[in-house]
Amino acid sequence: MMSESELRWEIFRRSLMRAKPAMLGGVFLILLVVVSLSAPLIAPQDPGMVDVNLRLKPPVWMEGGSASYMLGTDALGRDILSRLIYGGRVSILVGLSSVVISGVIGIVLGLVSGFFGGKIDDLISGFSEIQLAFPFILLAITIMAVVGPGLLNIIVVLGISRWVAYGRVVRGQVISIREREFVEATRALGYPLYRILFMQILPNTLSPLIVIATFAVAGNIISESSLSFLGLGVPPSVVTWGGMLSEGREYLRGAWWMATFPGLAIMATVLSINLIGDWLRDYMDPRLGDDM
Amino acid sequence: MTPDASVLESGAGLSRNGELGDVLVDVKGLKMHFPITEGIVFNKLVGLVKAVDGVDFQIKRGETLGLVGESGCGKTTTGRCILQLERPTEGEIFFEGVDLAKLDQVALREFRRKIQVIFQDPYSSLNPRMKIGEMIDEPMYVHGIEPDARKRQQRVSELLSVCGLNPKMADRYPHEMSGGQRQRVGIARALSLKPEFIICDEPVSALDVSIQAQIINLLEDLRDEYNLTYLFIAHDLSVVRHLCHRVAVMYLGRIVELADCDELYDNPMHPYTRALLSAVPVPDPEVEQGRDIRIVTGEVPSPINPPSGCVFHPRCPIAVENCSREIPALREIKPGHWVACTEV
Repeated sequence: MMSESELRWEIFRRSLMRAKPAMLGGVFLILLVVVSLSAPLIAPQDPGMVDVNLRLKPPVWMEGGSASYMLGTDALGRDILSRLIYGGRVSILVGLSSVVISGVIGIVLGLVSGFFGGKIDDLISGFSEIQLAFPFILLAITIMAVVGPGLLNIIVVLGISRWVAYGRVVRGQVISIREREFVEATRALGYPLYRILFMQILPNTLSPLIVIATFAVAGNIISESSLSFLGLGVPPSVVTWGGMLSEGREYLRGAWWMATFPGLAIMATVLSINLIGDWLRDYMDPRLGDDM
Repeated sequence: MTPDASVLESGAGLSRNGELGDVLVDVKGLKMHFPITEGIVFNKLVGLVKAVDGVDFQIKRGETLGLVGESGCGKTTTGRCILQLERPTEGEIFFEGVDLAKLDQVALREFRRKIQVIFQDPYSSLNPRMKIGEMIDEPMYVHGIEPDARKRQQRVSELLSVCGLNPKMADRYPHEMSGGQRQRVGIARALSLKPEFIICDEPVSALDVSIQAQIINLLEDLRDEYNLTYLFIAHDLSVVRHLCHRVAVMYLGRIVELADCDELYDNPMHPYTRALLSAVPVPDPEVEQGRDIRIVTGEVPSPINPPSGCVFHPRCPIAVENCSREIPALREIKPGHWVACTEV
């Protein structure tokens, strides 16, 4: 006889086991996190060490490649593999934490504007429309130019510039849900407001949010690289996948490995997150339920 | 305790299950007008929907009052006003002598425990993301009735079996249940706070006829067991006759007739009530053929711009000239039988 929490875990585990693509994504992400956390231990070279004699070495399987520089070196002779391992730390940190920030802002503002309506809704919706009409990159550049480059700054900037997507979806969902009788029932039962908003209405709006969030992780990793490329992201001394990608762009014709490997890393990460997001959305909807 | 003994009180005595108590709910001059506005920036008031326009009634402890009428006559809005889901435009709603319309949200919470609701549509009245057990457990947790989770769980099982469901269903989601079962869950949830007064807002009209009878019987059993008081909103007169002690007939936001159940069915006085009752089919074809059916012509007028005087006069078979000028008050024609018509 299993306890309730064991049973719940068992259902979760089996559902995940059956979803092969999500498993694959999960395994990749776990691997990525482990590798990023243990970067100083496993990176074969110092990612910042410049050696012009070693510049533009091809990957190991090509002529002129060396086993100490598995994926080749960049224009300054730095090891691509080591830089990928270190770069993953920043990219994942930026991608995930800015999603959390924009998600929290968007969900709260969306709930408030959808549930209360009226003047406060006009205000929040108007504000989000202004922000939508304003080009994202211009907004980010402006803010970054004012506050200066830095890891924390870029996370916050990406976070606040992407909340509108969540806000609008939540607002629309709340408007359709708040009139449903189960919400009226909780009002009649005398539930406090936060409970109605966050525990009755919010769970019913989650499915599209998860999809948006998974795409936003991807978008944030790329936005971070665009800003770093413009010199407004993290300082050049900090390795990021986006930064590597933009450096490699200039050498694409001769040294394709410089841009290709960070590109593949971004793609694999984004794909993994999307696969998990897809499965998570289905898992969280009891109606698509589990036939156990 | 009892507010001043005013209108509509005297007829409440004839009950089916013996004694009735003091006045539990006392609605006085209830009006609910919804504004219609136009314009985007400057909202201009262009009219009012007079959903409820001056309703008075009292319900005694242990009594079931039926509230019937066509769609859009304001019966649901009346219920929502008592629940304080809508703040009434005007009027007083006394519950145990306290005017609910004047309480703020915090003070209301204590009364929310005592007044519960059963909704019409069992498909939208349950949160699709929550298990049945959680839904019945949560109100007790929120109100701090039983801090011990294990005891709450036991009570959830009890409530489910009282409502005719297997306690094992606590682990199910609403979409795994039939309409009748869902309605039973809605009833169990309403009972979880041990309420005194339940507003049943057409609780059976979304169900199959065979299930309807079961739910009605359940409501009846629960009333007798827990000494509940019901406001039973319906448009099905045969259902109302079975369950209610007294019946109020509403038309366009007003009560046009109010009487003890048998009296109203056997001796309807208001022309609108007569028309409603004659629209109920009789199961015997011979009787049905020979019956004098009074069909009301025309449509229900809009509550935005209701007719002057008696709101029923444009459709009334016995209207006289004066009906378009004078708003008829409810008069007690016989003890306990109130009619808002000058011509009867």
